[in-house]
Formats: sequence, structure tokens, C-alpha cells
Amino acid sequence: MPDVSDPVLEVVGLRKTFGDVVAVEEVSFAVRRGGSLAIVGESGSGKTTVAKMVTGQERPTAGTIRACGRDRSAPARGGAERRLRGREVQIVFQDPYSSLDPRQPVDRAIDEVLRLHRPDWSAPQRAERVVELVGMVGLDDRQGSALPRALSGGQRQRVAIARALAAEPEVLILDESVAALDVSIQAQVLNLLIDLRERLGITYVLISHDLAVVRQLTETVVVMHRGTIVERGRTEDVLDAPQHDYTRRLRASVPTPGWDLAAVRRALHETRPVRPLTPSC
Amino acid sequence: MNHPESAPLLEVDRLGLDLLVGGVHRSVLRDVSFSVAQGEAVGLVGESGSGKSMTVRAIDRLLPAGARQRGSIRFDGKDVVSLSGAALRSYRAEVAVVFQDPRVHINPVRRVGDFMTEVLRTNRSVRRRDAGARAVEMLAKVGIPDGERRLDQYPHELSGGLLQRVMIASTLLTAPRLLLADEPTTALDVTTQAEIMGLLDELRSDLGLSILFITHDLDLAAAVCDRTAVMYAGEIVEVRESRLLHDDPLHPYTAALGAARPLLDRTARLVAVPGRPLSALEAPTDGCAFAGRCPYVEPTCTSAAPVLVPADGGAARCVRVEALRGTLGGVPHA
Repeated sequence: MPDVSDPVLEVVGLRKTFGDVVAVEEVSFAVRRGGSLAIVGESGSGKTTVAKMVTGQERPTAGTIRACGRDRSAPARGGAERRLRGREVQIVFQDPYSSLDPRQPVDRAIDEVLRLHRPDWSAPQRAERVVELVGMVGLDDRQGSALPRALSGGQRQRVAIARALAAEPEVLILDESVAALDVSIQAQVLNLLIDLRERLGITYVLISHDLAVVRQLTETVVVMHRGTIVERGRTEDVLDAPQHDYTRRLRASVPTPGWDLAAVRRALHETRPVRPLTPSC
Repeated sequence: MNHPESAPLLEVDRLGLDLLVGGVHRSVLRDVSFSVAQGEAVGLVGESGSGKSMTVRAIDRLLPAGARQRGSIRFDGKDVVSLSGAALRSYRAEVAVVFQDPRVHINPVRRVGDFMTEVLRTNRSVRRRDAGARAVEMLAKVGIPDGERRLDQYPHELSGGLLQRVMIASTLLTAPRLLLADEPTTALDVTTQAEIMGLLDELRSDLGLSILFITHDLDLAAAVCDRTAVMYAGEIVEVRESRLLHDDPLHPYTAALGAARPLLDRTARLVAVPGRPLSALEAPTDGCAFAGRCPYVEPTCTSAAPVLVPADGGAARCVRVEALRGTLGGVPHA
């Protein structure tokens, strides 16, 4: 996205190869502070690989990543640097069942993050902040001291969000964070995310295949296909008037009443996607 | 292809089901009634724990040990519950299941051709070479032109969408009349989902196949099914023509499901139902299961279990159906 003033996250010419396979090629985007960007794509598009490079789980083959004005293209040197990066970017994963330690009660899981990022805080200070965070994501005190197994999928995802927010990050990466939730629960979590951004001024990067969720949560979007960005723009412009062939196909694949399945199928056959073999995503 | 006036192919009547949970029988399905006509696509929509998958299992006779069943399931006029032996095998050939994640239901070390032709070879005594030829024919029908090559491949060599098409082709080999599609596209990409749904629709019109389509996605059901039944906590709360159910719901839960989904063409604050979906195991027996989350709740809602009230060519399980009719709004068209 050119001409983003005050970018909090800026990615330039990102490339990632696994052996001979190019998973990500020439990916550049920027998000303004307090903004919200969606990276849209299907499996094999490279969207998750981009997210992993931003969080530092994967090292870029080429290109640069800057968050809060500091370069993070190379691995962090030492614990202090890692913690600093943790206060810049946090991530909430798709599956709330596997991203929490099953033996750790909610309040201890959040306290653990505070101990890491706020070593100067006293125990009562941290406890007060835990209560605040638990309330902020809409959980009650009982749920705040429960083990993950006593919580539903939606409640666990709230815990994962509270835990990410404990580090007070500038950027929150939402990697399909609402995709596995039941529809009625998904609506609650989407509303929560919208409220949190308004309240905290936090920046979102949403990784998603769900165009309706993208519309609900983001102001700008990049569409990825086979490792590269094929379209970018304001979310409403891209969804209302998609320019690239692939974006059009994606848009036409969303089920609506009166869906002309025969037409959808014909369109898909004309331009059948060839899936690149990427080891991730 | 719709013949709603003729006798339905599948008729589920007041199906009730208790499962053994920790040594005690607990009710998971109550008073589930619906039918699927020849060539009709019916959607069964619900969130986790609503009982939609258990309904499919009851229809396919795949219930866990100790299950207690009430009511009846009839296929082509015959009682399904009493089938055994050869009759059950031939029923299963006529009623095929397509599952959500083909990789869970497939033996990873057997080649595609081997599992595709197994039923033909073992149950129908078709010779291997003939069975292979029929498999290639079916693969072509589901849009896989190079069937010969695919038969020699292993499941891990195929993408999710391709493997799901292989699964559909293999169910077609026994010439089924009813397809039980249990979230067949949930694990797939959006464009692949559209392709699989297009394929199922094509099979329905070409072969007169009936489809019971199980999904959590009301929009998807409305887009591809003639009629849709919405399940909540082990009961059907509304069953109607899909378009009506989507645009002008009669049950507050159906309306809530519609309002909870973000829209593609505009942004508006989502109307989120408070609380979480009740599982069938937790449902009260003396009142409406949705009452605790319903914005229209009245004292009568919790004093007796509501029954399905016929309305607008369908039925809704709500004591306030007359009072609320036309007020619940629908999902605006995207």
C-alpha cells in the first residue's frame, strides 16, 4: 500500500523459498498505526507464511520487515530483543483448543505474559491487570480462574486475545482467529475485536479466507494468490468492484441466495487454479 | 426435478435418540421430523452440538453402542431401523455419505483405485478391470479427466478438493439415490467449495439424486437447498423453503443465526446472541431450549416444551410464532 502515513508495520519485497519452491514473492504492504489490513487468500497463497515472517517464526529469504520503525527481518538477538518484539507484534491463532496450555488456568496464563513483559511490576499490580484484561475480553471472574477445558471455543479464543493484549502490542495479527468459531460466537468475538481496536488504538493484520469477516474488520486489503499480491486497495472497493480475475473468482465463490451454481462452476472451469506446492499453509 | 407431491424418499418421523454418556442414557435428539423427496436438496443447519451429525449417523445406522432410538426412519417406504445383513448393505449402497474431511476417512497407504473399487469387487463381484473402468468413468463425471492416472495415486498426492471429488465419485459407483453430505466443503477453500457445491447440484439434476446437506452455514444452505431445517440443542426449530427461511425467518434462533453473520456488501454492527449454543445434552425438557438467549422470551416459553407449529408452508418450534411472524426480519441480500 503506497503512501501510508505513520506506518506501524511495513513489509518490503518479502520473499520466502522452501528448497526450490517459492512460497512468497515480492510481497510489500504497510499498515498505518491504528489501521486494519486484511491478507486474503486460500491455502497455498502464502498468507500464513507472510504472517510467520512478520512474527519471526520464519526467516525471510529476502526483503525487509519493519515494525514500530525497527527492523525485524533477522532473528532477534537475545531475550531483551525478543521481548521488545513481543511488545510490537502479537498473534492470535485459529485454533483456541491447541494454542493454550491445558494445565494452566486462565489467570496464570495471562500472568505469565505480564511477568515476562513487566518484570518491574509487583504481584498485586499484575493481579489487578489480569482482572482488567479478563474483563476487557468479556469473561467473568470464574472463567478467569478456570482451566481451558472448562471453557467453550469462543471463551478460549477470548483468553488467547487477552493473553496477546497483555503484552500491550502495537500490532495484533489475527490468523484466521474467528474461522473455527460457531456463527453466534463468531459474531461476539468480531464485535469484541472491533471494540478493542476503537478503545486501544491497536493495529490489526487479519489473515483470512472469509471475505465477509474481512469486510467487517478491516479498512484495507491485499489479495494473495500463489505467493504474490494480485490486488490491493480499500476493503470496500476491492470487494465491491474486484479488478483482478482471481479476486472476482473469490468473490463469486461466496454463497448467496439465488447463487447460480452452474454459472459459478463454468467460471471456475475457465480459470482453474493450479495449486503451488508449498510446505506450509 | 422436484416431486414434493410424491412419497418422500427419506422420511424421518419423531426421531429421538439417547446416548450412553458416562454410563447414563442422555437425550441428544428429540422429536426430529423431516423428509427428503426424490431429487430434492434439503439443508440441515446447526452449530456445534445441535445434533445435526448425530441425525446423519442415525440415518446411516452408524450409532454408537448403547444408543436408544425412538421414532422412525423410512427410506423408500421401508423401515431403516430394522434392517440387517444383506438388506442393510444394500441400503448403505443406496444411501451414500460424503464426510467433511476425506483424509480422516481414507486409508493413506491404499491407492485411490483400490479403495474406490473395493465395494464393487467385494459386494458386487465385479472383476477388477471392469471395476477400474467404472471408477474412471465416475471420475470423469466429477470433473477429473485423467482418471487412469489418479487410480494409481495415493491420497496424499491429491489436494483436498480433488480428494473430495474422488470421494464423491466413489460413492456414486454404487448408484446411490440419497447423498448424506456432512459438511463436505467445510475443510476446503472457498473456490473449491463453490466447485464441489456446483458438482453436487449437477449430480442432483443429471441423476435425480436426493441430497441431505449438513452444514453450519445458513447462507450456504440457502444458496443450494430447496428446503432447510434449522437445528438447535437436538431439535428442529424451523423447517421451511430455504429462501423463506433466509429472508423471513419464523424462529428467533434462525433470525439470530442470520443476523450474526457479517455481510459481504456492507458493514454494520453484528447482532450477537448472548451466551453460547446449548448442546443437546444440556437442553431443558420442560421449556424452549433457546429461551435463555432469546430476545423475545416470555414466561410461557419456559413453562412447557414448545412443539413444531405449522406455518408458512413449513413449521417453527416457537410458542410465539404467530405474534412474531413477519417481525424477525431476514438477512438482507448480499
